[in-house]
Amino acid sequence: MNNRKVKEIIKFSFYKDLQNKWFIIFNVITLVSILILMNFTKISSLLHFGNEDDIFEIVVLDNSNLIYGNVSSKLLENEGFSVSRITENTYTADNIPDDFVIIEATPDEEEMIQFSVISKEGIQGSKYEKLLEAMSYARNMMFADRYGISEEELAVFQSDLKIDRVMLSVDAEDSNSKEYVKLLSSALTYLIATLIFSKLSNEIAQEKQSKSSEYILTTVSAKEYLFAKIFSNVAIVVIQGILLMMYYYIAMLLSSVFTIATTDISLSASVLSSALSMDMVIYILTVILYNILNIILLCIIQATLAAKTASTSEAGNTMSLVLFIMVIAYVVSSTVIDPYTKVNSLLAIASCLPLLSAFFIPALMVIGQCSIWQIALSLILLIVSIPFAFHFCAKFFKNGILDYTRLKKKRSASEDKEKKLEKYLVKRKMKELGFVVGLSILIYVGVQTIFSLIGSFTLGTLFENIYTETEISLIMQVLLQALSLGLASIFVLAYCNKHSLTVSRRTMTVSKSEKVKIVLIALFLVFALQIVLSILLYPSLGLDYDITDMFEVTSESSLLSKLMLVFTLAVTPALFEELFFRKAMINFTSQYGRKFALVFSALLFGIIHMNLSQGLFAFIMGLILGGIYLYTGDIKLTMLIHFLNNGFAALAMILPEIWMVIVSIILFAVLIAGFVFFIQAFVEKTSRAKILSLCKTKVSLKSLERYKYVFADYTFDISAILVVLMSILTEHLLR
Amino acid sequence: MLEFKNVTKQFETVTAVKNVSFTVNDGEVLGIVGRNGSGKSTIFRMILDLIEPTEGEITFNHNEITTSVLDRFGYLPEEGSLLNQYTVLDICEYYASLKLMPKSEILKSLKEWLAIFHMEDLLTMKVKKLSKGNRQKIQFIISVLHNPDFIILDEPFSGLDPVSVEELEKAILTLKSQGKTIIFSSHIMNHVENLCDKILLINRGEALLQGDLQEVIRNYKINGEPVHSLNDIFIDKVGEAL
Repeated sequence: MNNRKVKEIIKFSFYKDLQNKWFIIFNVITLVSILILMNFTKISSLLHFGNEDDIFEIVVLDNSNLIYGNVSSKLLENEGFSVSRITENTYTADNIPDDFVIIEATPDEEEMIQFSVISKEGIQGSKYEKLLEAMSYARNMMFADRYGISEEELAVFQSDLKIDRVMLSVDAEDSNSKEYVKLLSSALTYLIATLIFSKLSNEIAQEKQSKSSEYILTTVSAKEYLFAKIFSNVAIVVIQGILLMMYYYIAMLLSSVFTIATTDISLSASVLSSALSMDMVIYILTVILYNILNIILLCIIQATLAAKTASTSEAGNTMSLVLFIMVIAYVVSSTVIDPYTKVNSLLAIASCLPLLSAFFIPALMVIGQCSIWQIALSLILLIVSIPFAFHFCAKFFKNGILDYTRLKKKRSASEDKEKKLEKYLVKRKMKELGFVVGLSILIYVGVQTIFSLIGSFTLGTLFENIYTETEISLIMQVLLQALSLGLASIFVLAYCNKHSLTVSRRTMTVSKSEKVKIVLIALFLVFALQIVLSILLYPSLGLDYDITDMFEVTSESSLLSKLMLVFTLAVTPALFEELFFRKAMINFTSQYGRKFALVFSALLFGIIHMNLSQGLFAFIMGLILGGIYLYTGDIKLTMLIHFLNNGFAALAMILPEIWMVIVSIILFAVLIAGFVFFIQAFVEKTSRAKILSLCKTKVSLKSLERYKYVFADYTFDISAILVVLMSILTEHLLR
Repeated sequence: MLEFKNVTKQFETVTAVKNVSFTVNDGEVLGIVGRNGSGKSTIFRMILDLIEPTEGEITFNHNEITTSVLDRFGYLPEEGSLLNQYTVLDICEYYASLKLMPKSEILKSLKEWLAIFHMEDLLTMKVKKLSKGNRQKIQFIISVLHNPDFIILDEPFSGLDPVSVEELEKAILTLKSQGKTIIFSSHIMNHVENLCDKILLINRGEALLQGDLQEVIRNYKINGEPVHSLNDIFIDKVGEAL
């Protein structure tokens, strides 16, 4: 390695960071802040911020004469307090002075004594602590007096249980302290790593962007450059850390200047030094060593990843990735290795591996199941892996930095160019499809999730005493559907509006009578479908579960419940599902072809129910409704059909028998009419031709192939994964 | 002497350089001309060991080109390499020290070069405040500051006004008279004609024409007629290859 050049690169990095005005500003502000915060009370008293000169007056109302003596003696141990006694509390918000507290003591059956602390506003923390101390002391003395125990005996009884924990076959000295050290060091390492990684990745990304790194790589090797970057960034963070520790130490010195007692100075050192055994010291040093080596190894990986990115923001994402790996490794080590773990050979081997050992070995040491060979082996592996990683990653680092990918474009003859352009346009179109569909699904699922989380407890508490649980959940369902589908529809419709996408208008408008016929036919088909599916198909597939069992509404329920049920099952689905799955979806997808729009919207409608039984029915109904919308261009028809279909199911739940019979008869009549018109449509040549032409679909595999590009859009991928997961879970739960 | 022997560079889907060979003797100036994306920069990057050739060999004085050899090289990259938040002095010192130039000499040499380009007052100016032309000139200075023997300039004249172009041409000729070897690329033929001893015409990675400049112009005939400028040859040859 060319030392002089590496030094130059390191020096230049240092210069950039340490001479930076923001570095100075940050350190000055931090120093001043730490000084002030750690000595706040002393400084504020110096500047007379608190009313330190004023006497804090306390009066005690203790008519049963239980605690006055002890409370006052304890309180008067402090300066600036005055204690007196009253026999009656005549104070109100108007006449109570500032810095004035009334302590009321009343005897209590269970608690022995019940205290009330009354003041005008809040009480300063440190003063309140003294009040608590006095009241607690008084109660203890009450207890001691009543049962004839001395103060010392009481103190023993109140202190923590002292246990001598002995593990005969395991050498786990100071397990608790070691665990504490491990936790502390992990947190510190994570913080330090965050700083180092972010600086490192940003610097590399910036130098790559400005092409400065390209030039530098003509003067030094990739390994040297990588080393210099890592070294300088680690060093700067270390320097900053040392500075912070110095600020802390200075603040401690300052506080000892303020305090008369000199025992406060050694606060930082005394926390652990008083009880540190040799074993503990070794443990701490081991943990530090592992963490340092681990960070260096991770820096190499981080730098290589950052070199592959195209901007500083992307580099930030690589940092999150590396940090996340650290978190996972820590969590795994904590979960897998606990006092009950029997370390098998797999775990023993895994804990020696370079990236894992920094987490696993300390954890094993805590439970005393780590042999000296494991430590030796893992350290050797870790140390050796560093130059190995340098060598291995240097090449990727160099390629990432130089990134001559522009040359990957294929320079082709003109005919290829046409195809390339076409392919590019198709891909872009498909990505657009994926994006709009994916994002609308995410909005739908997202709003449902957020709203049900928030809604469940806000609505619940809001309407707690007004409506019953069933009513509240029904109201929530209605709002949920309306919001989620509504917002998703708004998004898609706004997008269509912006890009002027509408379902292609038919040249001939559909007459009113034809619309009526269509509605009746559709109703017939839909109900026939339901019967066919539920009687014939579903039982054989094991799909005969009733969704409506979820709602506990019957004819006996309140009017509001019944009304809400109708809304939940019929009104909102009819309105909003049609709005989204027909109007929004078909408007948007008709640019890809009417047949595609029909099938796709129906497919989506089926999938979103997230279970097979509803989904299949929804798909076929979606085809019918979609077809109607495409044919007539009138969304109100489909809304009506949907409403009537769902409405019948809702009515079946809430109407008393007699009414149900009447409704069923009406429905039957409607269906007969529908059936008649349906047959008529088939018989009549022109309409039959129309129907058959719709059914004839030329689906070639080649045209379907282009839809694979939909997955090139990441929003679509994410929403697809979410929907699949939720469907699997829902299906499982329903069975 | 630089020898570029039968070098091919194949990327995943495209061949950037196809079996190109040339030699540059000490003290010569070679001009590489070609359309945008013809492979000029790739050739430079291979000389500088930034990219490895797929086939072929590149040697300098019959030796492999290592980092220590490159210490005697100067490079003006096509897209620049300046960092915005530093001053001209800082960045020149940094890059020159990476070429192992002693610190004491850097300032002296820098001042001389800035004087040649009449940019003395830019010494302490921050890079981000420089105009494009001035940045280019600073970039050039960086490439020659450490007194290299071999200088590679990738499109050195881009972004320069006519006065600056003349200054740069004069500088290059001065360097040539000092015995330096220079390769530069351009697609403005006037510069090439004024400065080069040899030329190499490249299109889509292939060497279409190369050799001594005067000979090439003398021997080239378009439809039996002699040509008068390199520009005509370029358009004819490259147009033909399309």
